Amino acid sequence: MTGVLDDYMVDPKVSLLDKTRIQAQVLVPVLRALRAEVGNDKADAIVKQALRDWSRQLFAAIGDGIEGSPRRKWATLQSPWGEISGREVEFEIRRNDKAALEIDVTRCRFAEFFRALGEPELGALLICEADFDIASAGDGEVSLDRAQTIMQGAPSCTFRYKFAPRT
Amino acid sequence: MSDEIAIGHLQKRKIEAGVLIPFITACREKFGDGPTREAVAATIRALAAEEGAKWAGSFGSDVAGPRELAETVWAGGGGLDIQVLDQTDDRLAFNVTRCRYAEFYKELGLEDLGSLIHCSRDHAMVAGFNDGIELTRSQTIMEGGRCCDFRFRRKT
Repeated sequence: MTGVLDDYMVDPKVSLLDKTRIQAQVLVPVLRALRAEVGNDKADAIVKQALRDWSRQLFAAIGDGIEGSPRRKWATLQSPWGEISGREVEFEIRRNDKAALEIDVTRCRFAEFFRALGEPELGALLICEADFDIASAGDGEVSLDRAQTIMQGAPSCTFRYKFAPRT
Repeated sequence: MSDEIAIGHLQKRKIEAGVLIPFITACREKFGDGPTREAVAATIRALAAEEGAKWAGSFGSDVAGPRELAETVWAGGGGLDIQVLDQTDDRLAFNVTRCRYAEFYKELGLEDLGSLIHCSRDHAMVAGFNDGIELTRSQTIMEGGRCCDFRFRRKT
């Protein structure tokens, strides 16, 4: 049950990894055709802007539909997102308290898929950047810092969430 | 990239559209409609031809094949209502009388993109399926027609 992410997932029986693979199967050939036509830099810049805007707007709209404080909006979004994305990764929780949540992802099937495809930047746009768009729902009360990701070639993804003190 | 994922056809097309729509919209803003349409349509035709060849393996490549394909895959998951009008060894005629794919694009106000991303696949798909079969279609629901009139015939 993904609740607020039902529309985003389209079909609850399909995993987030399979959903992302379906998107890549159609997007990669179109992107490669565009690269051949206008050059890599131009094509990559367009896909980057298009997919960043799309992801930001999509999660902002879901966040707007959730009642409550920014912290609550973030938690309501992050909970199903953590569940569906968490199935595809191995991770260690390094800290989890009132002030911070620190998670290191040590294996990521999304990264394995997109790196094997030679399209890690597309993978970052379709998956990794969503974490920041979801964190934005908690604007002012939740912040995310992530120095590195497996998608970029690092050995782990270092998620560092900070929570503002509750007033 | 050819691994099969178990999912209804309508749901699969909606997931694809989720990322294709912003991408194509951005391309149109940057390069204009004509060049975008050409680049996207050519790629989608190539993907559709590959898909047609794969489906021929599952549904046989004669004239009866497209009927089974339409009824089981395209209409699977409630995607289409189909009315078969005529079927012989050499020809097949059916109308699509309700199309949830078109409804999906119409809700977004993007029927023109729907024609490009979705309907334009069919002729290329048939060529990949069996290039001895010809598809003609004079109207689609996506373009505002009352039905989509699929007419297949064996080329002479």
